Amino acid sequence: MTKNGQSRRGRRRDEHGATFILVAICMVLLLWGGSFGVDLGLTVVGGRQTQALADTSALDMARYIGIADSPAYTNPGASTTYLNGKLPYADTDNGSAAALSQVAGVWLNGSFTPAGGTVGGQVVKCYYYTPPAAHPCNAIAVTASQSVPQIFLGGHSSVTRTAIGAVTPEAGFSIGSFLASFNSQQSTVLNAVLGTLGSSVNVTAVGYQGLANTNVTINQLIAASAVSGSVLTTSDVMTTSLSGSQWLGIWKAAVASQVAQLNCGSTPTPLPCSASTALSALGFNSSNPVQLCQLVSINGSTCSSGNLSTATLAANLNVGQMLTTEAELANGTNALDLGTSLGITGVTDAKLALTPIQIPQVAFGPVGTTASTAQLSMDLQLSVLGQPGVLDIPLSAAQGTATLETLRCTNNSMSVTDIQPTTTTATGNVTLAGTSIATLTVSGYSGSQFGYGPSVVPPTATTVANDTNPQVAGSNSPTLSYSGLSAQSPVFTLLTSTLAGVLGPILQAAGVSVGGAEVADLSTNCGAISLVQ
Amino acid sequence: MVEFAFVVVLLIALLYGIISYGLILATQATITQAAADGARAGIVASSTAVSTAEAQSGTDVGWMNKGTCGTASTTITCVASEAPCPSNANNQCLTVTVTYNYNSNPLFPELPGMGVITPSTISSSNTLQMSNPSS
Repeated sequence: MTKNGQSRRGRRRDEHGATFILVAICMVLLLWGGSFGVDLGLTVVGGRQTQALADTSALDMARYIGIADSPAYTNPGASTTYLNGKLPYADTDNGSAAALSQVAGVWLNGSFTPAGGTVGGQVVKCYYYTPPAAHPCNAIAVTASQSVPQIFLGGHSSVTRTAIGAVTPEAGFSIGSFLASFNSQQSTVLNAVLGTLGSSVNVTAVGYQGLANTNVTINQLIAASAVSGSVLTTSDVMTTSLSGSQWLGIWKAAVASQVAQLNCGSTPTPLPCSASTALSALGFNSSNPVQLCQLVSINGSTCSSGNLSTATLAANLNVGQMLTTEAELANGTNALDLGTSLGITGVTDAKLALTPIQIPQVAFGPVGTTASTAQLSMDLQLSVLGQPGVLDIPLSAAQGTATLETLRCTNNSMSVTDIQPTTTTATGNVTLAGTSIATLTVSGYSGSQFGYGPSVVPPTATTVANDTNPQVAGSNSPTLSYSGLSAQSPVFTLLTSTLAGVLGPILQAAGVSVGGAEVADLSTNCGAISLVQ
Repeated sequence: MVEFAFVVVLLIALLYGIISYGLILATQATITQAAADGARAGIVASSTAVSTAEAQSGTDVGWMNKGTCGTASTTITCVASEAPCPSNANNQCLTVTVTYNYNSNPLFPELPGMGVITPSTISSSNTLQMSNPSS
């Protein structure tokens, strides 16, 4: 044992217990840190719970804004007292003791202005007054506060969270082709189109007029399905596969339920009565299964996604558009042989192919929502007397759209709705016997927006007759313009003169809104609420 | 070394507790969020409000990987129901309750005896008005 060895043993003995002392000191810090972390966690969780309560209360309170500025509350004090009286509801419903406070105001362009502030040069007033402001009170900010116990550090921490609920009114609307009246050429085309789903079709222009102006809500469709033996529900109405004849049975039953409330002997004949007669004349025997989601998109719904909200079930579907789209989809790119039935002078045979590129979109939503017509490509092939080869007119048309520009609700009722339509311009490269002879453009419509007052929504037989809802713009004969036209008569005359009155109507009958648009404001929901912040 | 062994056991137990409790707090926040999200999704759905709410809550708790969240689940249940509001029976309310039977299948295995300080169930409920009031 060396001196040095004794020294090393001594040092080791001296260190015994040192770790415990160090750990004991560190443990105080560790336990303090740990308990601080737990209490901080509790505060975070408490904050989340407080936010959830603020959100809940803001959504609940948004339902009362429309009442707070109704004629029963003609001054700020009465309105505020009314809203404060509803404030504890969220606490009661959720078993909470959080302190709640509210401020009503206007939510516009992503920011909240409380009552007393200024929006668009006008003071925000959240009570009944006349005339109503351009931006009526539509939102409410709710602040929730509660204390969270700090179990280790002792005491309580206070957490405060705010949420803003707003009334976000929605409108259901659609845009369709301009079909104020049907001519025989349009009937001819539609008979050929619908004939692809079964036996030959011979519906009159009056019948198509009825189909094109008859709308069925999804709720009515579901109710009608029970009558016709194919029970649809709100959750599967868009995705259930049914044969063409089963769908026809449902459409018939849905229109019949409307007809039952009308006097079909009156003059003029109510449009659903004409539609019902036309549907009776159809005999689809196509066994190909079809889903409603393949024919129309509602608020962007697809066959794989898109549960319909309660409000959306009130969206209207146009009977004529649905049947036409179904037939066009079933027929695909096959050309329909129209022979000489179009009645175009000098044309010995006509073939028409209509290929849907995108299905029509019915919209139901807040300002900014867009509805659109179907997007189609069309190929009209004409055999012209004395000309070699075929005169081929392919046209590809984008969708006509309608955008909800303004939707104002006052006292829980719609006061103003503005919808801006824009219709498509179709273009194509015309060829004769395979040689390009011109580029054809069929003009679209771009005019001012349509306004709808509360008295014309939803549309009725009277509003249809008065053209107040749906409103129409444009004409049945859109302008055809050619660039680089190099053809001699009779092709030159055919293109520049005769076809002018044929192409537009054919496209419109197929569902493309060239030249004109028909925009219907179908319904308004001023009670829609959402959490905006 | 012997001292260090004692201390390490203590420190690991402390670390284990911090992780366990952190996950419990995260679970509580998730359950709260799930109930609120479910209720919000439910009130904008149609007659499928209950199933929509339960499905949304189930999606929110999905990250915990404890099986399908439904009424028949044994670990996490997501239950929605429509009833007159407690605050005003003239209004219809949708209540979504999400309950996690934590002790039966914890997110992080518990040390023996830890069940005494961890909650046996973590639950949150959210009630929202479904209908527009008339007054």
